Amino acid sequence: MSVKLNLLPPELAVSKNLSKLLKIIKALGVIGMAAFVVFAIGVGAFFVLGTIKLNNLNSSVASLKKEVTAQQASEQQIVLVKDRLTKISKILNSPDSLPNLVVIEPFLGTLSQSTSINQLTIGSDSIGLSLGIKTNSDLTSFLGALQSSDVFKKVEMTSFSLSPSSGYAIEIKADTK
Amino acid sequence: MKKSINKLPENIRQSLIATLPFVVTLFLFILVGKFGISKVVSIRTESAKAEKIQTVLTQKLTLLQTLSPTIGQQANITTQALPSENPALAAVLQLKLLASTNSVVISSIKSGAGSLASSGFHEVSINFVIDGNRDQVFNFLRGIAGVSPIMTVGKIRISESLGASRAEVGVTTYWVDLPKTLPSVTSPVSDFTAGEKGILTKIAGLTQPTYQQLVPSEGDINPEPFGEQTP
Repeated sequence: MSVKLNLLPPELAVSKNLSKLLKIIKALGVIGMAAFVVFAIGVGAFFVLGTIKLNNLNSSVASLKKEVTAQQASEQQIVLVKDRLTKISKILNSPDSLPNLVVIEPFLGTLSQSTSINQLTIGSDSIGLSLGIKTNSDLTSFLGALQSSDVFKKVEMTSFSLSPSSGYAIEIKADTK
Repeated sequence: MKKSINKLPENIRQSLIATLPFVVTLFLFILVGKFGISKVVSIRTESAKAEKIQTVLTQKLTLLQTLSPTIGQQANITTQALPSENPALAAVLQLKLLASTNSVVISSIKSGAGSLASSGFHEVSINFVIDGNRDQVFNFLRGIAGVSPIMTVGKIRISESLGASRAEVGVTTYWVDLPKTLPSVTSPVSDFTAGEKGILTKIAGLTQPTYQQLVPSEGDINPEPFGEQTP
């Protein structure tokens, strides 16, 4: 039967509980050191790889900047064209009488050569028309075309007269949509 | 130091020896963690930034290379449509050519002084009278939308007498200053939108003003300009 002998002097003896705790702390120290070595290698590797990648990226960016600068004339022209197009778009959307000319033209096409336009005033939002119509058929077809059309917001006949010598004189004012 | 450690009670001495590696490891963790990780994070941030710039520049370069064969012509077309200087003369030239094409007589051409409109555009109004038959006058008026520089038509007054039509027309034509700044090299450039492409197509269809270049006449050189000319 083995007997445990403690040959250490009593003043050098470490209590049993503390000994256990110190063993745990020593083990933790060793594990911590191993973990630190892995951690340090990881951080170092990240640092080295990251630096290499950054240097590659920086040289690529510098090269691209050089190539883009070489295309500066094209870039200036793109900026110019985009600027012009924005402004042209604004102008094209500004008030213009030409669309109303296109609107009224088909109605005038229903009239025969004997009908004269006394006055046609075309604005960007309204049309004023004064006609001298000689025949009933012209008058009927013109008014019929106006009635069946939906291109105007409002059509107002401001004057209508009949003269035996010159025929019908009508004046209309139409607001476009 | 060693002596003073040896003088310590055995419990404390053993505790210190056992704890020291643990404490040193902890300290190294904190030190490397603080400086190493912050450096790695900073490199990653810079890399992400550089990657973003690289992407922007690559896209920009591709776009510039794609557009460069046609952009010169497009710039020319758009600056003809909306020039940087008063286009009144070009507009009058275009109106006269249009009148000639449609066999109408254009007269009483009056151009006002250019002014800066509230929209930010410089504009100049041109008034004129057109004489011809009804179809010719209408064709002429429709044709205004098809010429460069672009014009908007103000009020049109048309009257007829003995089968002849007369139109009093006022048009406005515009100009704006050229852009003064160029974006930085790393700022992105976007391709033309569908709307912009539509306007470009429309503008490309406009009749451009044609200028005749006058060549100086080639005369005989007088070898004795201050003396009698040799026969």
